[in-house]
Amino acid sequence: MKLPDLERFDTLPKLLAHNARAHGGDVAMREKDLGIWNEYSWADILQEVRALALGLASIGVAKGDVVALLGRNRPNWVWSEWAAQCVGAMTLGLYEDILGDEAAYLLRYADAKVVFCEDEEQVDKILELGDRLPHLAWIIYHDDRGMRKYHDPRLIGWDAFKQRGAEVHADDPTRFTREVEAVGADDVAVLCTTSGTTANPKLAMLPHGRFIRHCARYLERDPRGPDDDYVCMLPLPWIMEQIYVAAMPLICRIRVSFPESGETAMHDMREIGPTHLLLAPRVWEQTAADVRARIMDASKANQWLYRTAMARGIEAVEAGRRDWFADTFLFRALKDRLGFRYVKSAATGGAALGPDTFKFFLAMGVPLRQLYGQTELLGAYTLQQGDAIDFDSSGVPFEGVELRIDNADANGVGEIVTRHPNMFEGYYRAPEATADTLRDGWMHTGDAGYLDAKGRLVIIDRLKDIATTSTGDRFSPQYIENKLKFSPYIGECVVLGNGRPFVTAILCIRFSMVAKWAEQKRIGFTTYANLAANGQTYDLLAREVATVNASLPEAQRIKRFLLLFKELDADDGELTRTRKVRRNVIDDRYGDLIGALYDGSQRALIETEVTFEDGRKGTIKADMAIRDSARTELEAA
Amino acid sequence: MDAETRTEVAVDAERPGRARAIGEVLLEVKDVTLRFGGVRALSGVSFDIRRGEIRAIIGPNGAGKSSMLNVINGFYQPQEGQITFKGEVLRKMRPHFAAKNGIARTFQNIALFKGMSTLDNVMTGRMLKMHSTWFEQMLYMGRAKREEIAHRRFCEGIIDFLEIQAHRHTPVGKLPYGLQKRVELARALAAEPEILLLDEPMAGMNVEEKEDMCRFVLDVNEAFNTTVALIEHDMGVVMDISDRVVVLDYGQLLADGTPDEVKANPEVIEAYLGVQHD
Repeated sequence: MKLPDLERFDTLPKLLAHNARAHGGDVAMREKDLGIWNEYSWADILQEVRALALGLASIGVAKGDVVALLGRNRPNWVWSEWAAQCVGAMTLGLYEDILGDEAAYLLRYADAKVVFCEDEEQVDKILELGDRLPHLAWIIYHDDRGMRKYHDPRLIGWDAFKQRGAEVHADDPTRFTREVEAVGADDVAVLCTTSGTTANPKLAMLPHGRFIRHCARYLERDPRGPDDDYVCMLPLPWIMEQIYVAAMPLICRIRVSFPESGETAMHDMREIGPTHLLLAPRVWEQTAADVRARIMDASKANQWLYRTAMARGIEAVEAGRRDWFADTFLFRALKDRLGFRYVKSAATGGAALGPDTFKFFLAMGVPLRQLYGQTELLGAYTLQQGDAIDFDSSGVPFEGVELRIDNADANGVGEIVTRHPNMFEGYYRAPEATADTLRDGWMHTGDAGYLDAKGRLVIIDRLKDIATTSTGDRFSPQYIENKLKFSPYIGECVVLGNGRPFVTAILCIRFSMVAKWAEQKRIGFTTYANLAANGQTYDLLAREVATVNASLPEAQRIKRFLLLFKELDADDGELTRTRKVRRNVIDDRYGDLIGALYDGSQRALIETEVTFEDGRKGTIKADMAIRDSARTELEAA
Repeated sequence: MDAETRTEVAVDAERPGRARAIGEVLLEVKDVTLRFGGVRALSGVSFDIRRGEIRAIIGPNGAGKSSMLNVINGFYQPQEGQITFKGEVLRKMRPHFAAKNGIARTFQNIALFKGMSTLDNVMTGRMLKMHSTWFEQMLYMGRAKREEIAHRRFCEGIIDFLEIQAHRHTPVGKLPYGLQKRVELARALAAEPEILLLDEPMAGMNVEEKEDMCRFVLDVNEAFNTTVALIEHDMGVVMDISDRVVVLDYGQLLADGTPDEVKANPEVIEAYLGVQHD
């Protein structure tokens, strides 16, 4: 497919205006609302964006200001973003489930002048911050349900705001074009939050031109066009969703569909039948777990069919061929059932996906590929080729990307250091942090990895997370965690052992699966905590751990584990908003548990603070058992 | 090894703010007595429900709470007393009259069509608003089609409001209990009621489901200005969301007032906690 002239259309809004002119009637976005898919053409979108942009101009938003966005994935989120960029503002996307303090930090840090909020829930979060945001002058809300009780002067509704813009346009019809033309390739389009596994997120400055050029590089590797479909399911503030939804469609005109709600996403995806997919590792893991959960309910004959076909399919994929039996009797129907039937290219990124989950989908015939990148480098810059059998690597870098391994050890493992011409400009208002990660123009990623014989990048773990036991054995906790997470019964886990005599694990059960299993076994339970504390649940999980242990070298085997009384949660700071484990937080919060795992105790007691979804806090006391996996293995033998 | 996890959750909840006006008397029951043979379920009960308020009816088991709701929507017909609804004095309420005139309800033990989908269940709530004939509906053309589209749109609005989109096409029998309760509320709302009678809307729910349900009841009350009369056993819920509370005991009115007044009433405390007898 021929891309538009990216030299001439060098900002996102210029591309939008170009698409509206050249392909005005084509469907650009779809949104499911009240059970119906509504379609928006490029011309419709331009009209919305113009009204919003001129509305922003009318309240004095100009080049260099920051406009924040807070809400769930909906077309209006993206329109607001493009509108802000039309007048030269930088956009700051906040995660939908962000809590007050985090929002306060980011909005205050960037001195956001305007925030677009989806609904009352999000407006609440902002209003609760009171006078902590002296620069915030306008709060624009999209959904007016429940808004009547508020009288804050900063509030304005979506339609009223667009009306302001429409009036500006009526007075001065060329104003919009002038605004758009005044923004150039070197102006910053997006302030993208880094994941912040160790500290507060930083804001990477991503200029229009680099954004667009990098997307073009991506499209060379993974082409897509106006007849392709993508479903927007990952959080929009995340760099990859920014690439896929806010930038790429403007260049290659892939259609983007927005599900009705988070809960209906998988179902809505099936209705669309996307050709391109990008899902977080946990969604792939969950999908695989759901399939296996459903099979548990199926008839004996179907269970046999599933087991046989899956085994044949995986064997075939490992050998680089397809199995006709599995394809005919299982995978064709399964792919259709999951909505993967038309998928031409699927990717996973943001964190590592275990090889077993990978094989599961490849066997099914979903061309799943691992990508690797950072916010600072505008998302992905390596992607698996897809032609060779490859379960471990993240593929080779894109054209123009330079990549080297610093301080490599005997096995070639060291820190991944990269640069390319379209990387970020620096961190917003943090020159020291920029100088720290960007040395001589090279980005020090902090990830450990190596290049294999074919020049493919293999990621091991975060450099600082690579652990050594006190007996001197090096291991990667993430590698073991991914193995554990392939078990349908394990939702999340943290592997410990750095500086300790042996490896242990804190496991979180995957509630949906374990609950189903408990029902079948007629085990009574009330809550997550209650189920996780059940002795038979421990037995079940001990068997899962034993399976994983069998595939690990002796020194890396999990000697002891416990089942945590709750799921790890981003609201408690245990995970980042993209759901990576924050190890330092785990160490702090669960120090007592970790102590108990190593001092030989049979039980661990803890009292800890939890944060509810609405931001309230409460304390929980829990008493958990600790299981020696060695014992289970002995019993099994 | 079998561990009984002891989990205690301590939360300090805040009373949610209100943003609506309470108006004139919408429904009044006066000296209502209901007998089943020799058993007096209600004896001479009088109270009123004002437009826009959330009115709770509480009392121990067998106090006559569900009977009271059944009298209000005409399912039971009292032997004595009268009901005034929107200024009209009635000897007794008839279920059809109640439904047509804006009284909708949910039941203590869910009364949905288990084999039908959520959407279809909610659509049945629109029954009385459909005017096309049986023949037109069978052909699905003209008025019947237009009507169905309009009603579907309305029901989708409620489904969206109560956040049950994900279960739109699921047979309700397969849904967990808490969600079934929500579907039942959706069906009642589909009738665009002026008064919504909820019989133990939070019974059998866990804390999270209860919180959600409370929020929905408050939202419904605020967004549609629907008057709500509810029976509830969870005192926390009652005191948090209701404007006024009626307390029944052995079919008699024991107290009537704001949550704070009722809480302080010694007779209520006695009925709930009991007193020591020699």
